Amino acid sequence: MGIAASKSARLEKALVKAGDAEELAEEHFFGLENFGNTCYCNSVLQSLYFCEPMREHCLAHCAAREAEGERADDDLLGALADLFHDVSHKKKRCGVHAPRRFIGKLRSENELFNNHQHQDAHEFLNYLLNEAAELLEKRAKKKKQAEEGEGEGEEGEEGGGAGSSADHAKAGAGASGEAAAAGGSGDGEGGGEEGGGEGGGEEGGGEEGAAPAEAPPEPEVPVAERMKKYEAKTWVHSIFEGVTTTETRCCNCDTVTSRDEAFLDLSIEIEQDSQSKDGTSVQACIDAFTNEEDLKDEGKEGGDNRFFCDRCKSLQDAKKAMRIARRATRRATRRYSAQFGAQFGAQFSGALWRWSDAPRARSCSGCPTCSRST
Amino acid sequence: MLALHLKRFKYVESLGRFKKFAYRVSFPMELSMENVVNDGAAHAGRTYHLFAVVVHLGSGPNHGHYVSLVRSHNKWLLFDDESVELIKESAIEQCFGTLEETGRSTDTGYILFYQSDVWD
Repeated sequence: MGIAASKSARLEKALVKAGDAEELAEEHFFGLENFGNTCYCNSVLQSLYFCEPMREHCLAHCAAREAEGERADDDLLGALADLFHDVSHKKKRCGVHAPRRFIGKLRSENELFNNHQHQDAHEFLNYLLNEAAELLEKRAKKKKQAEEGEGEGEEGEEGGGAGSSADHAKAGAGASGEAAAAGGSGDGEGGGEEGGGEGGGEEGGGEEGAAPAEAPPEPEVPVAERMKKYEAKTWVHSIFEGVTTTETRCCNCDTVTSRDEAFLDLSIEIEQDSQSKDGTSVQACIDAFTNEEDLKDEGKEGGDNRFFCDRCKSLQDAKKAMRIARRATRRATRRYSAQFGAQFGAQFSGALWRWSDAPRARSCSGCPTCSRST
Repeated sequence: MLALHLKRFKYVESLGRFKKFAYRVSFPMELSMENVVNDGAAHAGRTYHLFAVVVHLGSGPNHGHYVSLVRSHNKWLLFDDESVELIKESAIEQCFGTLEETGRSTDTGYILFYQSDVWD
């Protein structure tokens, strides 16, 4: 206790010395007690506490609960909200807090964390976000049911599982423009048939499959349109959710198949860069993650990585590229208040999406790596 | 908000176990993601600001220690369980990882939290 107190005093001194900005004066910097290898928890909790919207929503959660006269919710989200509430309402600016209830709840909720062993911080973060999102969805459903019970119907909102993924392979080149062109060819598609509506396939057949003379650059499907189904289900989604869109373009018929996958946190591969004396960077890792990739038969060594094209009904060389769509969240600028809780949520629920600038899967004409030669 | 997890713990088949890869991966204070908006009109690149890093200290996946570096009102703090210290922004570089496999430093950024700047 004595050591902790002197450490807090030292931090207090350092903060004063660093210039006592008004905001800094209102802030709370509390260490978290370790209950036996719980540093994986503490480090993530501190990061989330200083994530503005996360903290504000947690505090609003507490406030709303109080306003509605509910008893403390006995779940992980409730424990998290209480923890943030406790820290943010300390009288002193610096000190140590014991997140006893939160750790207790975590251990009783999830067998994986119910021990004193070293755990993976990322696994914990991922579990916490998904669990919080799920609890919020359940709560919303319950509330809705209760309201419907009173005879009030509200506009529907289907609650799916958190972090769900969705497939939507669009025949006829994922974009409306080309889909319309291909539409002319009707249903009578044989295997290995190539795209291009206006009877462009005279010399077709075989691997060389005639490309539509000049595939028009397909118009971008507006990202807002595409992401409609990712309307933020909960405030956890609104803060953290993003979507990776993988587009695979068949080199034979130019059809683009896309697959969306929602994430709350994004895991990226890191590769050592032996060429650079400075090592690699996060930016380079993200670029590598989203870069265009050739899917082809790599022979004995690499195996057959060709793509099964639903349109050609066969394995084909293809190009794959990934894009990351992020919900554009507004930064919280206002402090929460009890009656403000609901509006606050609304502020975040706008489905505004942005796409990263990763290249799209390009058309294959003139591509040296696949069979198409022109 | 963008929570990035760097896959530093990977299964190595020849070892038959997970191994920590501590090599250097630098992360910027400002991560820029050039973006395209819904209507297809190009907008200026959006910048994400680093505001928290979960750092893994130690050589292996099954042991070691986690601390976090957090920004609050343009000051950086190191949270190490009970202890909290004010640190210089330049100290964050020490968590990029190591260039040599034998390097002493095994403090490595593991989860990066970025927040986008205000827009519209």
